[in-house]
Amino acid sequence: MQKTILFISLVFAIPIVAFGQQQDSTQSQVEEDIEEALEVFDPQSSDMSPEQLTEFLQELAANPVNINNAGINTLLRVPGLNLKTARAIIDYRDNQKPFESVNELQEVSGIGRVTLEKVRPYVTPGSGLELGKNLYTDLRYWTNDGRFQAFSRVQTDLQQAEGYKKRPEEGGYVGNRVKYYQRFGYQSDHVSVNLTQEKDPGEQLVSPVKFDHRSWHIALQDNGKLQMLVGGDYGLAFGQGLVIWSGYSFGKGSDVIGAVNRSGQGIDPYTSAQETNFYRGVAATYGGKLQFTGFYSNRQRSASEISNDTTRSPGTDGYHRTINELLQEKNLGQQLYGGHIQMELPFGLIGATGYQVEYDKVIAASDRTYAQFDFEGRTNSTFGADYTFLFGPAVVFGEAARSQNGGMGVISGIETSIGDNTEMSLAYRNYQKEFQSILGNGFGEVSGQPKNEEGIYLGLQHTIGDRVTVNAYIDQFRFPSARFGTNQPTQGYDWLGKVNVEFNDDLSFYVQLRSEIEDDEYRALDSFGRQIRKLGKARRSTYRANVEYWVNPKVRLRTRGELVQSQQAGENLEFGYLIYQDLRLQFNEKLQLDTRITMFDTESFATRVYQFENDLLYVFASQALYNTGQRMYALLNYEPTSYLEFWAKFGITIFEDEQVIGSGLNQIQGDKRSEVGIQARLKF
Amino acid sequence: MIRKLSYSYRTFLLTLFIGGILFVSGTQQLHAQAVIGARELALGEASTALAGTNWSMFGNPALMPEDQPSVSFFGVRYYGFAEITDMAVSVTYPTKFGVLGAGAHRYGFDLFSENRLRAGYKNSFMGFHYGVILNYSHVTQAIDNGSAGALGVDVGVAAPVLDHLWIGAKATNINQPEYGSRNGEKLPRDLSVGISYQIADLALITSDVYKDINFPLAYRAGVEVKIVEALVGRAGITTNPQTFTAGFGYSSDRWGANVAVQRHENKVLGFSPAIDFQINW
Repeated sequence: MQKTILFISLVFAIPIVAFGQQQDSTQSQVEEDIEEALEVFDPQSSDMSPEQLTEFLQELAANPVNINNAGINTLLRVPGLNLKTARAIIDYRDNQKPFESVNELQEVSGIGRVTLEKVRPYVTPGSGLELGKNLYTDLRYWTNDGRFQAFSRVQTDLQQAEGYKKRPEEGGYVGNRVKYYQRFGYQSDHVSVNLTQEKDPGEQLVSPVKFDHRSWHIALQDNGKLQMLVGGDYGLAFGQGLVIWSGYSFGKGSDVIGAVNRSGQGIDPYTSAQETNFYRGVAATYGGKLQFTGFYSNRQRSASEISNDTTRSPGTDGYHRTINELLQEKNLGQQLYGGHIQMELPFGLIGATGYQVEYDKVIAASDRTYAQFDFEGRTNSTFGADYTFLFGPAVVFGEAARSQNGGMGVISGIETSIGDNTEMSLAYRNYQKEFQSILGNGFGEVSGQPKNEEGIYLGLQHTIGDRVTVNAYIDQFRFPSARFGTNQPTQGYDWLGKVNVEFNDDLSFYVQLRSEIEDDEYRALDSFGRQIRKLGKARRSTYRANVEYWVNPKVRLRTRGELVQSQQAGENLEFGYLIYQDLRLQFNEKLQLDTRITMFDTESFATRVYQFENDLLYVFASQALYNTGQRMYALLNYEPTSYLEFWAKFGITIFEDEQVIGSGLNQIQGDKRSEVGIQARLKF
Repeated sequence: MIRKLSYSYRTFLLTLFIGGILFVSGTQQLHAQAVIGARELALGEASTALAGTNWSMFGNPALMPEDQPSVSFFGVRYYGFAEITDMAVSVTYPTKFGVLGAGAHRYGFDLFSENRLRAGYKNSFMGFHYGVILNYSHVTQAIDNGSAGALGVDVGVAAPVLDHLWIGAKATNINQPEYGSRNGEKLPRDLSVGISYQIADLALITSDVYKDINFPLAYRAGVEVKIVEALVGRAGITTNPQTFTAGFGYSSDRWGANVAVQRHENKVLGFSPAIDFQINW
C-alpha cells in the first residue's frame, strides 16, 4: 500500500515542465509490432521464443537499417519488407537517387502508406555527415559507428513460492527467486562481440561470474565478400524455415501481409538469454550474388533421461532449478553441421539448405499416439530448397524439404497487391506426419517443428483513404495424424478481422474479431458408465475494441475492452473479459512513465485474456489473466544522459476469492502476486 | 380508485418486509451509492466523462470544475427509507496550482453508518486532466459495537477528444485498503471508462462501462435535454442492477438544483428520490 501511494504521489506530484517534444512514435510502433506478434502467442502450447523476437525488434529499432547502403539480406530483416520491396529500394537508390528521408520510401514501387508506417521504426537514411557521405560518396559504405552496450537487470517476485520454502533435497529450488541478467556487447560496422549471462528464478548463482546460462559470440560482418563469420553462439534461419530456423518469426496475427513469407536472414550472431534456441561453434557466409554458408555446432543439451544411453528430445525451457533438473543439465551432446547456398537471380532468389545432426545418446520418443511419428535415433538430417520469385507485382515464395526418414514438407505462397489499395497473401503448406525436421520452424497453426499439418492461408489488407485499414485472414488446417492431446486426425480453422480507423494523427480506434474452431477430444461416459473419448469442437473467440488518443505530445491514453468466449470440447460456453485504462506520460525526452489498471473477470482458465505490457527493455511481458481480479503496473524509463538509461517496473495482480495462486512449486499463498524489476543500460 | 389504493398498500407492506430483511440480515450487502449527485443519478450514473460537474469529488476527480469555486449538497433516500439514506457535501476550489476539493459523505443511520471524508486535487495541461483523491472511510456498527476505518486512493484521467466530446477513466481504492486488521474486509475497487458528448446546445449524451471487482460488468448511459432556458430534463439507465432514472435540473451561474428519481429492477423496492443543491461564486 505504501508503494502504491508512493507511486501515486510520483505520478501526480511531478511539476509540469516545458512541452514541445515529439511523441515517441517509434517506440510505440515497435511495441505495437511486438504486441501484435505476442498476442497470438500462447505460452501454454508453444516453444517459440518471444524474448528473441522482442529483443530483435527493439535492437533493430535501436540500430535501424540504413536504406542507403544496406544489402538485400539486411533489408529483408526489416519486418514489412519482402524481397520485392527490398529490391525496389535498392533499384531506387541505384537508379534514381539516394534516400533523403524515410518518407521518400513511399516513392518506391510496392511501398504504400501501411508498409511505410510498418517499417519506419527500423530504417534510417542515415543522418548528418553520414547522410552526406551517402549522398555524395559510395552508396555501399556502411555507416554505423562502434558502440558498446552493457545491460544489467534484476527481477523478482515479491511473494515466496512453494519451491523456495522446500529444501532442495525435498524437491525445492536450489537458488533464490531473483532473476539476474547481464549483457556486454560491442558492435560496429564490421565487428560484433557479445557476452550474455543469465540466472533464472530458482537457479543457482555459483559466483558473480558463473551464471546458469552464458552465451557469447565474436562476429565479423560485411567485410567484402565475407558476409558473416561467427565464432561462438549463433542462430540460423534459412528459406521458409522448413529445414532450420532458430530466429524470430511472426505467427498468425492481425498483420496479415508478411505473416507467412519468412525470408530467412541466414546467420544471426546470438545475443539472447533464451537458453535452448541457438547453436555453438563457427558459421560463415561468403559470396556476392552467389553465397555459400557453412556452419558447425557442438553443444551440450538437457533432456529427460530414459536410461544411460537414451533420452527424450532436448528440452526447450532451459531451467535448472531443482536437483532433478540439475542432474539433467548438459547430459546430451548435440553436433550439427550443414550449409546453405543461395543465388540471387534477376527475377528472384533460390537457395538450398541441408544439415546433419548427431546426438551422443539415442533419442526416444514418447509412446503416446501423438508422438508415434516423432524422431527417434542418434542421427538425423534434413535437406530442402527454397525460392523467392518476382512476377510483376507479386512475390512467389516457397520451400520444400525432406527429412532423413523420407518425410516431406512443403510450403508455397504468393504475396501480391490487387489494385492500389489491396494486398493479398495466399499460402499452402503440407507437412507430412512423417516429416521429422527437428530443427525447423515453419509457418503453421502449431508453432515450432513443422509436422503433421496441411493448411491453406488467405490474408487480405485493404486501405480506404488515408485513415482506414482493414485486415483479415482465414486459415484452414488439418492434422492428418494425432496432434498433442488427441489420438486421431483432427482439423479446424481460424479467422481474424480487424478494422483500424485513424481519425486524425492523435486519435485511432480499432476493433478486432478473432475466432478459432478446431476438433478436440474429450472424455465422456457411455451408457454403461465406461469412460470413452469423444471428438468435439473447441471454439475460442476474442472480441476487442481499442482506443488510443494522444491528448498532447506528452500524454497518451489508451482504453481497451476485450471479451473472450471459449467452448472446450464437450463443455459449456464460458466467458471472460477485461477492461483496462492505460496512461503514458512522456515528461520530457529523458523520462517516461507507463501505467495501467486492468480489471478482469473470467469464468475459467480457458477464457483467460492476454494483455501485452510494456516492460524493461528486451523483456517479454504478455500476461495471461484469469479468474477475477485486478492488475496494475507502472514502468518508468529514465535516460539521464545519452550513455545511461534506467528502467524500473512494479506490477501487482490481486485476485478475488483466492487463497492460493498457481500450482506446484510455483504456487504462492494469498491473493496477490507482485513483481519488481530494474534495469540499467550503459552505451558508448 | 379503491383497487389502486389497496395495491399500493400491499406494495408498501412488501417493501417494508423486504427492506427489513435486507436491513436486518446483512447491512454489509447494502453498499453506499457509488455515484453522488442528483444530475449524475438522473444520467444513469454515467459520470466518468461528465465534464466540470460539482460532484467530481465523488466521481472522476479529473473533472472538477476549473472556472469557479462551488459547494454542493446532496441527499438520496433509497426506496423511501430514512435508514438507508445518503447525504453528501462537496466543495471545489480552483487555485493557481490546480483545483482543490473536499467532500464528506454519510450513509446509514444510528445503528449502522458509513462515513467518508475526501480530499482531492486536480490539474490539467494541454487538454489532459488528471485528479487524485484521498478517501478516509469509516464504518460504525452499533449492534456489535464495532468500528473500523481505512484510507484509500482514487485516481482519474480525462481529455476532450473534440470540443464537446470527452473521454475519461477513473479507478477507486487502487491501494487496496482494508477495514480492520483482523478480518481484512476489502473496500470496493472499481474501474470505469466513459465518454460524453454535448450536441450543440440541445442535448448531452453520456455513457460508461463500469466494473466493480466483485460484480459483473455494468453499462450506464444517460441523456440530458434542454427544455426551456436553464431547465433541463434527464433520463438514464444502468445494467447490473438494471435501474431507470429520470430527473430535472435548473442551473444558473450562481446556483443550481437537481432532482432525480431512480427505479430499481426489483419492482418491490420501488423508487428512490434524490435531490441536490449547488452554489457557485
